[in-house]
Amino acid sequence: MKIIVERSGGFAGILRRGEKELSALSPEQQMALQKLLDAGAPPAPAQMGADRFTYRIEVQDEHGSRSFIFPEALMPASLAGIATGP
Amino acid sequence: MHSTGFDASRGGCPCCFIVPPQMLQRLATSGDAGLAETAGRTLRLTQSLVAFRAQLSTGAPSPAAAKRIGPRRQIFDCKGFNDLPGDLVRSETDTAPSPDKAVNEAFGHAGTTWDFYKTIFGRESVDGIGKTLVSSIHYSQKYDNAFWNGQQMVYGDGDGVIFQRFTAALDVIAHELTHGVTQFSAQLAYRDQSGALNESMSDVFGTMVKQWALGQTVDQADWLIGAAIMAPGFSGRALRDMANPGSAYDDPRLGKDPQPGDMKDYVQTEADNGGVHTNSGIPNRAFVLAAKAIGGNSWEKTGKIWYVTLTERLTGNADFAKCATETVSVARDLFPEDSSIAAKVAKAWADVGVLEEAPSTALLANIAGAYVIAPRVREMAAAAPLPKTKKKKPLPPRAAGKAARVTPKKKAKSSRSKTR
Repeated sequence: MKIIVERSGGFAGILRRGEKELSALSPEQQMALQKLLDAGAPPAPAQMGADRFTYRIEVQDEHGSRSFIFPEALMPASLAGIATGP
Repeated sequence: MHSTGFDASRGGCPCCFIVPPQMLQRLATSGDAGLAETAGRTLRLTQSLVAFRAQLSTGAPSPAAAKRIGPRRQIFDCKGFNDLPGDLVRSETDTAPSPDKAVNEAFGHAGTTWDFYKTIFGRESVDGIGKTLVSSIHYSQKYDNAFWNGQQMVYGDGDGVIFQRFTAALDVIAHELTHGVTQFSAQLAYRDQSGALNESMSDVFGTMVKQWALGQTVDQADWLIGAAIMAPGFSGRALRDMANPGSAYDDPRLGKDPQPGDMKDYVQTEADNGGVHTNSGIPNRAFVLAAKAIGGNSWEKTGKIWYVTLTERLTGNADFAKCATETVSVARDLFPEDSSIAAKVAKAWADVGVLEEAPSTALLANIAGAYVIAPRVREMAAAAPLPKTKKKKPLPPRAAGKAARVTPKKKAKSSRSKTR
Protein backbone atom coordinates (compact mmCIF):
# COMPACT_ATOMS: atom_id res chain seq x y z
CA MET A 1 0.00 0.00 0.00
CA LYS A 2 1.20 3.43 -0.99
CA ILE A 3 0.21 6.83 0.34
CA ILE A 4 0.58 9.93 -1.84
CA VAL A 5 0.21 13.40 -0.37
CA GLU A 6 -0.15 16.46 -2.57
CA ARG A 7 -0.16 20.06 -1.40
CA SER A 8 -1.44 22.70 -3.81
CA GLY A 9 -2.07 26.43 -3.58
CA GLY A 10 -0.48 28.80 -1.13
CA PHE A 11 0.94 32.17 -2.17
CA ALA A 12 3.53 30.40 -4.33
CA GLY A 13 1.01 28.10 -6.03
CA ILE A 14 3.66 25.39 -6.26
CA LEU A 15 2.39 21.81 -6.27
CA ARG A 16 4.36 19.62 -3.85
CA ARG A 17 3.95 15.86 -3.99
CA GLY A 18 5.43 13.09 -1.91
CA GLU A 19 4.72 9.39 -1.47
CA LYS A 20 5.53 6.71 1.04
CA GLU A 21 4.96 3.00 1.42
CA LEU A 22 2.75 2.08 4.34
CA SER A 23 5.66 0.23 5.92
CA ALA A 24 7.70 3.44 5.98
CA LEU A 25 5.09 5.36 7.99
CA SER A 26 5.62 6.09 11.67
CA PRO A 27 3.13 4.56 14.13
CA GLU A 28 1.56 8.01 14.54
CA GLN A 29 1.17 8.37 10.77
CA GLN A 30 -0.28 4.85 10.49
CA MET A 31 -2.86 5.70 13.14
CA ALA A 32 -3.85 8.92 11.34
CA LEU A 33 -4.18 6.98 8.08
CA GLN A 34 -6.22 4.22 9.73
CA LYS A 35 -8.58 6.83 11.16
CA LEU A 36 -8.94 8.45 7.75
CA LEU A 37 -9.74 5.15 6.02
CA ASP A 38 -12.24 4.18 8.73
CA ALA A 39 -14.07 7.47 9.08
CA GLY A 40 -13.26 9.33 5.87
CA ALA A 41 -12.39 13.01 5.65
CA PRO A 42 -14.53 15.27 7.83
CA PRO A 43 -16.97 17.49 5.92
CA ALA A 44 -15.01 20.60 5.11
CA PRO A 45 -16.47 24.08 4.77
CA ALA A 46 -14.91 26.21 2.04
CA GLN A 47 -11.75 27.89 3.26
CA MET A 48 -12.14 31.58 4.02
CA GLY A 49 -9.67 34.03 2.57
CA ALA A 50 -7.00 33.34 -0.02
CA ASP A 51 -3.62 31.69 -0.56
CA ARG A 52 -4.37 28.77 1.77
CA PHE A 53 -2.97 25.32 1.06
CA THR A 54 -5.20 22.46 -0.07
CA TYR A 55 -4.11 18.86 0.54
CA ARG A 56 -5.02 15.67 -1.29
CA ILE A 57 -4.22 12.29 0.19
CA GLU A 58 -4.41 9.30 -2.12
CA VAL A 59 -4.18 5.77 -0.82
CA GLN A 60 -3.41 3.02 -3.34
CA ASP A 61 -3.33 -0.72 -2.98
CA GLU A 62 -4.16 -3.74 -5.10
CA HIS A 63 -7.89 -3.12 -4.56
CA GLY A 64 -7.83 0.35 -6.09
CA SER A 65 -7.41 3.82 -4.70
CA ARG A 66 -9.19 6.40 -2.56
CA SER A 67 -8.64 10.14 -2.44
CA PHE A 68 -9.31 12.58 0.38
CA ILE A 69 -9.26 16.38 0.05
CA PHE A 70 -8.41 18.52 3.07
CA PRO A 71 -8.34 22.25 3.63
CA GLU A 72 -5.12 23.18 5.39
CA ALA A 73 -6.76 23.63 8.78
CA LEU A 74 -8.17 20.09 8.85
CA MET A 75 -5.22 18.19 7.37
CA PRO A 76 -3.84 15.56 9.78
CA ALA A 77 -0.58 17.18 10.88
CA SER A 78 1.41 13.95 10.92
CA LEU A 79 0.64 13.29 7.23
CA ALA A 80 1.07 16.84 5.89
CA GLY A 81 4.87 16.68 5.85
CA ILE A 82 4.87 13.78 3.34
CA ALA A 83 4.06 16.33 0.57
CA THR A 84 7.32 18.20 1.08
CA GLY A 85 9.58 15.99 3.15
CA PRO A 86 12.29 13.67 1.89
CA MET B 1 -23.25 49.01 -16.10
CA HIS B 2 -22.22 50.80 -12.95
CA SER B 3 -23.36 48.96 -9.87
CA THR B 4 -24.71 51.44 -7.40
CA GLY B 5 -25.94 49.09 -4.72
CA PHE B 6 -25.03 45.68 -3.48
CA ASP B 7 -26.12 42.34 -4.76
CA ALA B 8 -26.96 39.95 -1.95
CA SER B 9 -27.11 37.02 -4.35
CA ARG B 10 -23.38 37.14 -4.88
CA GLY B 11 -22.54 35.32 -1.72
CA GLY B 12 -19.03 35.75 -0.37
CA CYS B 13 -18.74 37.88 2.76
CA PRO B 14 -21.70 36.83 4.88
CA CYS B 15 -20.89 39.38 7.58
CA CYS B 16 -21.82 42.22 5.30
CA PHE B 17 -24.48 41.30 2.82
CA ILE B 18 -26.41 38.12 3.43
CA VAL B 19 -28.86 39.25 6.11
CA PRO B 20 -31.39 41.67 4.63
CA PRO B 21 -30.98 45.20 6.09
CA GLN B 22 -34.55 45.30 7.41
CA MET B 23 -33.87 42.17 9.48
CA LEU B 24 -30.73 43.73 10.93
CA GLN B 25 -32.76 46.76 11.91
CA ARG B 26 -35.09 44.47 13.90
CA LEU B 27 -32.14 42.69 15.54
CA ALA B 28 -30.49 45.99 16.35
CA THR B 29 -33.48 46.98 18.42
CA SER B 30 -34.01 43.52 19.95
CA GLY B 31 -33.84 42.87 23.67
CA ASP B 32 -30.68 40.71 23.49
CA ALA B 33 -27.89 43.19 24.13
CA GLY B 34 -25.12 41.14 22.47
CA LEU B 35 -27.21 40.35 19.44
CA ALA B 36 -28.37 43.93 19.14
CA GLU B 37 -24.82 45.22 19.36
CA THR B 38 -23.57 42.83 16.69
CA ALA B 39 -26.53 43.56 14.45
CA GLY B 40 -26.07 47.28 14.95
CA ARG B 41 -22.42 47.05 14.01
CA THR B 42 -23.19 44.92 10.95
CA LEU B 43 -25.92 47.33 9.92
CA ARG B 44 -23.58 50.32 10.20
CA LEU B 45 -20.96 48.44 8.21
CA THR B 46 -23.47 47.48 5.53
CA GLN B 47 -24.83 51.00 5.30
CA SER B 48 -21.39 52.50 5.05
CA LEU B 49 -20.32 49.98 2.39
CA VAL B 50 -23.42 50.75 0.36
CA ALA B 51 -22.76 54.44 0.81
CA PHE B 52 -19.14 53.95 -0.15
CA ARG B 53 -20.08 52.12 -3.32
CA ALA B 54 -22.54 54.88 -4.15
CA GLN B 55 -19.79 57.41 -3.49
CA LEU B 56 -17.44 55.64 -5.89
CA SER B 57 -20.05 55.89 -8.60
CA THR B 58 -21.34 59.37 -7.90
CA GLY B 59 -18.42 61.13 -6.28
CA ALA B 60 -20.66 62.19 -3.38
CA PRO B 61 -18.99 62.20 0.04
CA SER B 62 -19.83 59.22 2.23
CA PRO B 63 -21.09 59.84 5.77
CA ALA B 64 -18.03 60.49 7.93
CA ALA B 65 -19.55 58.95 11.05
CA ALA B 66 -18.99 55.28 10.16
CA LYS B 67 -15.65 55.79 8.48
CA ARG B 68 -12.42 55.69 10.44
CA ILE B 69 -9.70 57.86 8.98
CA GLY B 70 -6.01 57.00 8.99
CA PRO B 71 -4.05 53.76 9.17
CA ARG B 72 -4.42 51.32 12.05
CA ARG B 73 -1.87 48.51 12.11
CA GLN B 74 -1.35 45.72 14.61
CA ILE B 75 1.44 43.15 14.44
CA PHE B 76 1.08 39.92 16.40
CA ASP B 77 3.79 37.32 17.00
CA CYS B 78 2.71 33.65 16.78
CA LYS B 79 6.15 32.54 18.06
CA GLY B 80 6.07 29.39 15.97
CA PHE B 81 2.60 28.28 17.05
CA ASN B 82 -0.47 27.97 14.80
CA ASP B 83 -2.65 29.92 17.21
CA LEU B 84 -3.96 33.16 15.68
CA PRO B 85 -3.48 36.01 16.12
CA GLY B 86 -0.70 35.45 18.71
CA ASP B 87 0.76 38.11 21.03
CA LEU B 88 0.50 41.81 20.16
CA VAL B 89 4.02 43.17 19.60
CA ARG B 90 3.54 46.47 17.77
CA SER B 91 0.63 48.78 17.03
CA GLU B 92 0.08 52.07 15.24
CA THR B 93 1.28 54.36 18.01
CA ASP B 94 4.53 52.46 18.65
CA THR B 95 7.05 54.53 16.75
CA ALA B 96 10.09 52.64 18.04
CA PRO B 97 11.18 49.84 15.72
CA SER B 98 11.28 46.33 17.09
CA PRO B 99 14.55 44.38 17.32
CA ASP B 100 12.71 41.75 15.22
CA LYS B 101 13.08 42.51 11.48
CA ALA B 102 9.87 40.66 10.61
CA VAL B 103 7.84 42.93 12.91
CA ASN B 104 9.14 46.05 11.21
CA GLU B 105 8.72 44.64 7.72
CA ALA B 106 5.11 43.61 8.34
CA PHE B 107 4.43 47.02 9.91
CA GLY B 108 6.25 49.07 7.28
CA HIS B 109 4.98 47.26 4.19
CA ALA B 110 1.38 47.28 5.48
CA GLY B 111 1.80 51.03 5.99
CA THR B 112 3.14 51.55 2.46
CA THR B 113 0.23 49.53 1.05
CA TRP B 114 -2.25 51.54 3.13
CA ASP B 115 -0.66 54.80 1.88
CA PHE B 116 -0.83 53.61 -1.72
CA TYR B 117 -4.55 52.80 -1.60
CA LYS B 118 -5.29 56.09 0.21
CA THR B 119 -3.11 58.35 -1.93
CA ILE B 120 -3.83 56.84 -5.33
CA PHE B 121 -7.44 55.69 -4.99
CA GLY B 122 -8.71 57.51 -1.89
CA ARG B 123 -9.42 54.18 -0.21
CA GLU B 124 -9.33 53.98 3.61
CA SER B 125 -7.91 50.50 4.30
CA VAL B 126 -9.02 47.27 2.65
CA ASP B 127 -12.72 47.75 3.37
CA GLY B 128 -12.78 51.44 2.47
CA ILE B 129 -13.92 52.43 5.97
CA GLY B 130 -10.75 52.06 8.00
CA LYS B 131 -10.48 48.41 8.99
CA THR B 132 -7.48 47.74 11.25
CA LEU B 133 -4.74 45.93 9.33
CA VAL B 134 -3.86 42.92 11.46
CA SER B 135 -0.75 40.87 10.64
CA SER B 136 0.54 37.78 12.40
CA ILE B 137 4.20 36.85 11.92
CA HIS B 138 6.31 33.79 12.78
CA TYR B 139 3.27 31.59 12.11
CA SER B 140 3.88 27.86 12.62
CA GLN B 141 7.30 26.23 12.03
CA LYS B 142 9.31 26.78 8.85
CA TYR B 143 5.99 27.71 7.28
CA ASP B 144 6.32 28.25 3.51
CA ASN B 145 3.41 30.59 3.01
CA ALA B 146 1.62 33.86 3.54
CA PHE B 147 -2.16 34.05 3.45
CA TRP B 148 -5.23 36.21 4.06
CA ASN B 149 -7.69 34.34 6.27
CA GLY B 150 -10.69 36.58 5.63
CA GLN B 151 -9.85 38.82 8.59
CA GLN B 152 -6.11 39.32 8.70
CA MET B 153 -2.73 38.55 7.13
CA VAL B 154 -0.57 35.63 8.26
CA TYR B 155 3.14 35.21 7.47
CA GLY B 156 5.45 32.24 7.81
CA ASP B 157 9.23 32.33 8.22
CA GLY B 158 9.89 29.98 5.28
CA ASP B 159 12.04 26.87 5.39
CA GLY B 160 15.27 28.81 4.81
CA VAL B 161 16.11 26.64 1.79
CA ILE B 162 13.53 27.64 -0.82
CA PHE B 163 11.77 30.44 1.00
CA GLN B 164 12.91 33.00 3.51
CA ARG B 165 10.51 35.00 5.66
CA PHE B 166 7.44 36.15 3.73
CA THR B 167 7.40 39.62 5.29
CA ALA B 168 10.58 40.54 3.39
CA ALA B 169 8.75 41.53 0.19
CA LEU B 170 6.51 44.58 -0.22
CA ASP B 171 4.78 42.95 -3.20
CA VAL B 172 3.87 39.91 -1.07
CA ILE B 173 2.30 42.05 1.66
CA ALA B 174 0.48 44.24 -0.87
CA HIS B 175 -0.72 41.02 -2.57
CA GLU B 176 -2.22 39.73 0.69
CA LEU B 177 -3.86 43.07 1.54
CA THR B 178 -5.37 43.24 -1.93
CA HIS B 179 -7.14 39.95 -1.18
CA GLY B 180 -8.83 42.02 1.52
CA VAL B 181 -9.75 44.74 -0.97
CA THR B 182 -11.23 42.10 -3.30
CA GLN B 183 -13.15 40.51 -0.43
CA PHE B 184 -14.74 43.87 0.39
CA SER B 185 -15.46 44.77 -3.25
CA ALA B 186 -15.86 42.33 -6.16
CA GLN B 187 -15.80 39.24 -3.89
CA LEU B 188 -14.35 37.16 -6.72
CA ALA B 189 -15.12 33.50 -5.95
CA TYR B 190 -11.89 31.67 -5.19
CA ARG B 191 -11.91 29.03 -7.89
CA ASP B 192 -11.42 28.63 -11.65
CA GLN B 193 -11.41 31.86 -13.68
CA SER B 194 -12.92 34.12 -11.01
CA GLY B 195 -10.32 32.75 -8.58
CA ALA B 196 -7.52 33.34 -11.08
CA LEU B 197 -8.80 36.93 -11.46
CA ASN B 198 -8.77 37.24 -7.65
CA GLU B 199 -5.12 36.11 -7.66
CA SER B 200 -4.26 38.32 -10.62
CA MET B 201 -5.71 41.41 -8.93
CA SER B 202 -3.47 40.68 -5.93
CA ASP B 203 -0.39 40.39 -8.17
CA VAL B 204 -1.38 43.47 -10.21
CA PHE B 205 -1.79 45.71 -7.16
CA GLY B 206 1.08 43.94 -5.39
CA THR B 207 3.54 44.94 -8.10
CA MET B 208 1.90 48.35 -8.48
CA VAL B 209 2.52 49.17 -4.80
CA LYS B 210 6.15 48.11 -5.22
CA GLN B 211 6.57 50.22 -8.36
CA TRP B 212 4.93 53.19 -6.63
CA ALA B 213 7.21 52.87 -3.60
CA LEU B 214 10.28 52.66 -5.86
CA GLY B 215 9.09 55.37 -8.25
CA GLN B 216 9.42 53.01 -11.22
CA THR B 217 7.77 53.50 -14.60
CA VAL B 218 6.29 50.52 -16.45
CA ASP B 219 9.53 50.25 -18.43
CA GLN B 220 11.72 50.24 -15.31
CA ALA B 221 9.58 47.71 -13.38
CA ASP B 222 10.70 44.06 -13.14
CA TRP B 223 7.10 42.70 -12.94
CA LEU B 224 8.32 39.90 -10.66
CA ILE B 225 6.29 38.57 -7.75
CA GLY B 226 8.03 37.20 -4.66
CA ALA B 227 11.62 37.84 -5.75
CA ALA B 228 12.59 39.11 -2.29
CA ILE B 229 11.33 36.06 -0.37
CA MET B 230 13.31 33.41 -2.24
CA ALA B 231 16.19 31.76 -0.36
CA PRO B 232 19.60 30.98 -1.91
CA GLY B 233 18.58 27.35 -2.55
CA PHE B 234 15.93 28.37 -5.08
CA SER B 235 16.69 28.22 -8.82
CA GLY B 236 14.81 31.09 -10.36
CA ARG B 237 14.18 34.84 -10.44
CA ALA B 238 10.90 34.86 -8.51
CA LEU B 239 7.65 32.93 -8.06
CA ARG B 240 5.88 34.64 -10.93
CA ASP B 241 6.90 36.86 -13.83
CA MET B 242 3.87 38.88 -14.86
CA ALA B 243 5.51 40.01 -18.10
CA ASN B 244 6.66 36.51 -19.10
CA PRO B 245 4.46 33.96 -17.31
CA GLY B 246 6.00 30.49 -17.17
CA SER B 247 9.59 31.72 -17.03
CA ALA B 248 10.06 32.71 -13.37
CA TYR B 249 11.77 29.51 -12.20
CA ASP B 250 13.00 26.08 -13.15
CA ASP B 251 14.01 24.29 -9.99
CA PRO B 252 15.09 20.65 -9.60
CA ARG B 253 12.84 20.20 -6.53
CA LEU B 254 9.89 22.38 -7.54
CA GLY B 255 9.77 21.86 -11.29
CA LYS B 256 9.14 24.62 -13.79
CA ASP B 257 6.93 27.70 -13.44
CA PRO B 258 3.59 26.39 -14.81
CA GLN B 259 1.91 29.73 -15.57
CA PRO B 260 0.38 30.22 -19.02
CA GLY B 261 0.45 33.65 -20.65
CA ASP B 262 -2.17 32.92 -23.29
CA MET B 263 -5.69 31.51 -23.22
CA LYS B 264 -4.70 28.65 -25.54
CA ASP B 265 -2.51 27.29 -22.72
CA TYR B 266 -5.15 27.63 -19.94
CA VAL B 267 -4.51 24.86 -17.41
CA GLN B 268 -7.46 22.63 -16.46
CA THR B 269 -6.75 21.16 -13.05
CA GLU B 270 -8.43 20.21 -9.81
CA ALA B 271 -5.47 21.34 -7.71
CA ASP B 272 -5.30 24.82 -6.15
CA ASN B 273 -9.01 25.52 -6.58
CA GLY B 274 -8.79 25.05 -10.33
CA GLY B 275 -5.31 26.49 -10.76
CA VAL B 276 -5.99 29.97 -9.41
CA HIS B 277 -2.26 30.69 -8.98
CA THR B 278 -1.50 29.19 -12.40
CA ASN B 279 -4.05 30.71 -14.76
CA SER B 280 -3.62 34.13 -13.15
CA GLY B 281 -0.66 34.38 -15.55
CA ILE B 282 -3.10 35.20 -18.38
CA PRO B 283 -4.76 38.30 -16.84
CA ASN B 284 -1.39 39.26 -15.29
CA ARG B 285 0.19 39.43 -18.74
CA ALA B 286 -2.82 41.35 -20.08
CA PHE B 287 -2.24 43.99 -17.40
CA VAL B 288 1.48 44.27 -18.22
CA LEU B 289 0.80 44.58 -21.96
CA ALA B 290 -1.84 47.26 -21.36
CA ALA B 291 0.38 49.14 -18.89
CA LYS B 292 3.36 49.08 -21.27
CA ALA B 293 1.25 50.20 -24.23
CA ILE B 294 -0.30 53.04 -22.21
CA GLY B 295 3.08 53.89 -20.69
CA GLY B 296 4.15 56.06 -17.76
CA ASN B 297 3.49 54.86 -14.22
CA SER B 298 1.31 51.78 -13.87
CA TRP B 299 -0.81 53.32 -11.10
CA GLU B 300 -1.79 56.45 -13.00
CA LYS B 301 -3.93 55.21 -15.87
CA THR B 302 -3.83 51.42 -16.24
CA GLY B 303 -3.97 50.90 -12.46
CA LYS B 304 -6.97 53.20 -12.17
CA ILE B 305 -8.79 51.24 -14.89
CA TRP B 306 -8.14 47.97 -13.05
CA TYR B 307 -9.10 49.48 -9.67
CA VAL B 308 -12.47 50.78 -10.88
CA THR B 309 -13.08 47.45 -12.62
CA LEU B 310 -12.35 45.54 -9.39
CA THR B 311 -14.29 47.77 -7.04
CA GLU B 312 -17.25 48.81 -9.21
CA ARG B 313 -17.75 46.47 -12.14
CA LEU B 314 -16.86 42.87 -11.31
CA THR B 315 -19.00 40.53 -9.24
CA GLY B 316 -18.25 37.18 -7.65
CA ASN B 317 -18.50 34.91 -10.68
CA ALA B 318 -16.74 37.17 -13.18
CA ASP B 319 -14.57 35.36 -15.74
CA PHE B 320 -11.68 36.55 -17.92
CA ALA B 321 -14.00 37.71 -20.71
CA LYS B 322 -16.02 39.81 -18.26
CA CYS B 323 -12.86 41.37 -16.86
CA ALA B 324 -11.61 42.11 -20.37
CA THR B 325 -14.80 43.80 -21.52
CA GLU B 326 -15.22 45.74 -18.28
CA THR B 327 -11.65 47.08 -18.30
CA VAL B 328 -12.20 48.30 -21.87
CA SER B 329 -15.49 49.89 -20.85
CA VAL B 330 -13.93 51.55 -17.77
CA ALA B 331 -11.06 52.84 -19.92
CA ARG B 332 -13.61 54.51 -22.20
CA ASP B 333 -15.44 56.04 -19.20
CA LEU B 334 -12.31 57.29 -17.43
CA PHE B 335 -10.56 58.61 -20.53
CA PRO B 336 -13.31 59.73 -22.93
CA GLU B 337 -10.98 62.24 -24.57
CA ASP B 338 -8.40 59.59 -25.51
CA SER B 339 -9.93 56.53 -27.17
CA SER B 340 -6.49 55.05 -27.77
CA ILE B 341 -6.35 54.00 -24.10
CA ALA B 342 -9.39 51.72 -24.39
CA ALA B 343 -7.99 50.39 -27.68
CA LYS B 344 -4.68 49.53 -25.97
CA VAL B 345 -6.51 47.70 -23.17
CA ALA B 346 -8.53 45.74 -25.74
CA LYS B 347 -5.40 44.86 -27.70
CA ALA B 348 -3.71 43.59 -24.51
CA TRP B 349 -6.60 41.19 -23.88
CA ALA B 350 -6.45 40.14 -27.53
CA ASP B 351 -2.72 39.46 -27.23
CA VAL B 352 -3.42 36.95 -24.43
CA GLY B 353 -6.22 35.31 -26.42
CA VAL B 354 -9.22 36.46 -24.36
CA LEU B 355 -10.46 38.87 -27.03
CA GLU B 356 -9.84 38.73 -30.74
CA GLU B 357 -10.14 41.13 -33.63
CA ALA B 358 -13.70 41.27 -34.86
CA PRO B 359 -14.51 40.15 -38.38
CA SER B 360 -15.94 43.14 -40.23
CA THR B 361 -19.38 41.49 -40.39
CA ALA B 362 -19.60 41.34 -36.60
CA LEU B 363 -18.99 45.00 -35.87
CA LEU B 364 -22.51 45.55 -34.59
CA ALA B 365 -22.08 42.83 -32.02
CA ASN B 366 -18.65 43.83 -30.83
CA ILE B 367 -17.98 44.78 -27.25
CA ALA B 368 -14.62 46.42 -27.36
CA GLY B 369 -14.26 48.58 -30.40
CA ALA B 370 -12.70 46.33 -32.98
CA TYR B 371 -12.60 43.28 -30.71
CA VAL B 372 -14.93 40.46 -29.68
CA ILE B 373 -14.57 37.70 -27.11
CA ALA B 374 -12.40 34.95 -28.58
CA PRO B 375 -14.40 31.84 -29.60
CA ARG B 376 -12.25 29.62 -27.36
CA VAL B 377 -13.17 31.77 -24.36
CA ARG B 378 -16.87 31.83 -25.29
CA GLU B 379 -16.87 28.05 -25.56
CA MET B 380 -15.21 27.66 -22.17
CA ALA B 381 -17.83 29.88 -20.56
CA ALA B 382 -20.65 27.93 -22.21
CA ALA B 383 -19.18 24.51 -21.45
CA ALA B 384 -20.52 22.40 -18.63
CA PRO B 385 -18.31 22.05 -15.55
CA LEU B 386 -15.27 19.85 -15.97
CA PRO B 387 -16.19 16.21 -16.52
CA LYS B 388 -15.39 14.19 -13.43
CA THR B 389 -12.49 11.86 -13.90
CA LYS B 390 -13.36 8.19 -13.76
CA LYS B 391 -13.66 6.94 -10.22
CA LYS B 392 -11.48 4.10 -9.10
CA LYS B 393 -13.09 1.26 -7.27
CA PRO B 394 -13.08 2.45 -3.67
CA LEU B 395 -11.05 0.62 -1.09
CA PRO B 396 -13.22 -1.27 1.36
CA PRO B 397 -13.26 0.16 4.88
CA ARG B 398 -10.42 -0.97 7.12
CA ALA B 399 -8.35 -1.79 4.06
CA ALA B 400 -5.40 -0.10 5.65
CA GLY B 401 -5.30 -2.65 8.39
CA LYS B 402 -5.63 -5.57 5.99
CA ALA B 403 -3.23 -4.15 3.49
CA ALA B 404 -0.74 -3.57 6.22
CA ARG B 405 -0.31 -7.31 6.34
CA VAL B 406 0.10 -7.88 2.63
CA THR B 407 3.15 -7.21 0.55
CA PRO B 408 2.73 -3.95 -1.30
CA LYS B 409 2.10 -4.52 -5.01
CA LYS B 410 2.82 -2.33 -7.96
CA LYS B 411 0.80 0.84 -7.91
CA ALA B 412 -2.44 1.32 -9.75
CA LYS B 413 -1.93 4.48 -11.72
CA SER B 414 -4.42 7.11 -10.73
CA SER B 415 -6.49 8.60 -13.50
CA ARG B 416 -6.71 11.79 -11.44
CA SER B 417 -3.04 12.46 -11.79
CA LYS B 418 -3.51 13.13 -15.49
CA THR B 419 -5.41 16.27 -14.71
CA ARG B 420 -2.60 17.69 -12.61
